[in-house]
Amino acid sequence: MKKRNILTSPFAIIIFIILVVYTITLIVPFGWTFLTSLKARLEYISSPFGLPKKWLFKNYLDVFKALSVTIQGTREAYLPELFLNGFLYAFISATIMVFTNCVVGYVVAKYKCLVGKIIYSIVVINMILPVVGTLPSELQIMRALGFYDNMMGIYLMKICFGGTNFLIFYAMFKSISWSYAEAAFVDGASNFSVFTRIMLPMALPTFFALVLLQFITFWNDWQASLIYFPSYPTAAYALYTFQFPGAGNKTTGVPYIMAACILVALPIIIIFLTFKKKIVGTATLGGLKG
Amino acid sequence: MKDIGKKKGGGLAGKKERIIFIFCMLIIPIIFFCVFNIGVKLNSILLSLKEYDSGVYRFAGFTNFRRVFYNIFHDAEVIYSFKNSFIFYLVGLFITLPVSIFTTYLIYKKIPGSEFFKVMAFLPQMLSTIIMTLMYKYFVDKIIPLYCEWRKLNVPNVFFDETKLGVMLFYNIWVNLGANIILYIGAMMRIPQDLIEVGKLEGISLWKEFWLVTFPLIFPTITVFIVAGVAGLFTNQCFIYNFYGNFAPQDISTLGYYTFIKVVGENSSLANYPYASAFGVVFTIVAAPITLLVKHLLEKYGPGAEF
Repeated sequence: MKKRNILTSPFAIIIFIILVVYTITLIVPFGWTFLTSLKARLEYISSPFGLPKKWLFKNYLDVFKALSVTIQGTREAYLPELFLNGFLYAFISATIMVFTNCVVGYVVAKYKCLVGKIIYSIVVINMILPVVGTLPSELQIMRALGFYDNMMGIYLMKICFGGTNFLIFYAMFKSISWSYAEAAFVDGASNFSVFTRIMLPMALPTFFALVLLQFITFWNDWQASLIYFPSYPTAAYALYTFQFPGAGNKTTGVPYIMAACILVALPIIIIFLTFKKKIVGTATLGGLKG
Repeated sequence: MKDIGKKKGGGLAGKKERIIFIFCMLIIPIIFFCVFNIGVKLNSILLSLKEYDSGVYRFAGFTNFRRVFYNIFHDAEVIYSFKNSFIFYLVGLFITLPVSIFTTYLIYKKIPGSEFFKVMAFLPQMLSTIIMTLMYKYFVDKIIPLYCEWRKLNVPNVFFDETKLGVMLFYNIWVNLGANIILYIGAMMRIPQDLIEVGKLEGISLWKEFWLVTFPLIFPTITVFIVAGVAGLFTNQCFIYNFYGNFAPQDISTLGYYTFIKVVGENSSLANYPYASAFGVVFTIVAAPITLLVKHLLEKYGPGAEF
């Protein structure tokens, strides 16, 4: 069959131009950021768009040494600690959150019971019905339970279900035939071993993909540290403080800020390039029909 | 699959094991859900009826609500916040949404370079918004003065003069366009190929295919976007905090930003919690019925189709 060309109408050509311009607006600032990160401070002021006269890769080393957050006015947390805080927060939170949704999604999808129906209804209602402005209440409860500024408490709070993760697991387990489980039951398997030995292995590709996406979300979430755990600042949060002069930074100036951006972005860029197919494939599930 | 999960043993022992299994799997998530979801929402209502006095919260009746309603009509920052939140919402609805749907359709129809465009759309989503903010902030801070000098115009202080709303709106479109493309490309890729093939056999043009097949089938996803946007109107900071921290000019504030800085950051205080909660309760009372109404209208009159 003849391939149809979409770029025939003026409207389509205009949209195509918008797409090209949008892509350029993404590429140019990235290129500019990289070039700026290699300039001296004075050179940036005199020539913000030119090529660096001298490529100062030393800026990265300076930023690595200087990027820090003052924790409650007592001590400085430097980049290795910031990366570690960010990694632990993102990895543990993502794993707990996805695992919880996997477990609850499995039970609701595969076991017909009243609780399952109630959970499914609550998740859907939660997604449709907006309840806004609950942050003060959440912080108050966290303080009351000792979860505020306590990483163990922060991780425990991730034992919650709902949202897209729940719906993805629910739909996935619904689509898996129950005959595997029935065969296992005949052989004397328990409900728990059916879940851990048959269903969970089948869910692992989805599980890892969602952990990966959730990890990226948590790693990038710079406000979490500001709101929930100020004593455990992450690298993303450090970038926020780095932009304001006089925030205790020893190294100031736009080239340093741009170098800091690239340093903090580096782990995610590596993850994205390594798992590009998986991330692109899974992220498009975000538009999953409810 | 009628009796899934009921087959084991079939007897009393099997049923008991099944109940124990369900209980063990769900009990902890349900407890945490009750505390950090339902509990937080109920506590928000209680908190809105209290005031902070000498280190403790005391019952204060509807004082906070009176203050909220007074400020909605008299406090310049709240009035600006309402106005700006609506502007950001409308721009998202009438510019970002249609542009993203049409650009996604081009990518979906595999125009030259579509894979590259798709990967580029992921870029703003992969990086922290603070990285995107800093790149944009310093780039725009240099490029706009350069443009003004070239056109012999007054050079503005981009993020503080009257240019600020424009640059913030552009930033929101810039960052959200990629997110929307990812969302809609997923919805379009799930359209069954046989439906597309039927259109091809009928000889309809690609744009006719868009209006007759693609658009109705992705309409549920668009509905989700619009419905979620109603709540976002009251909660979305629109990245104001990223750019300005605790000290944004009041005429750029949004409702999300206004309530956020009452609770977090240098201007926050435990005494603000009840007032911010009262704002949340008022917004919920407004947003919930509007959301349900919008959802109902879109489902009833929209071009949605099942597949």
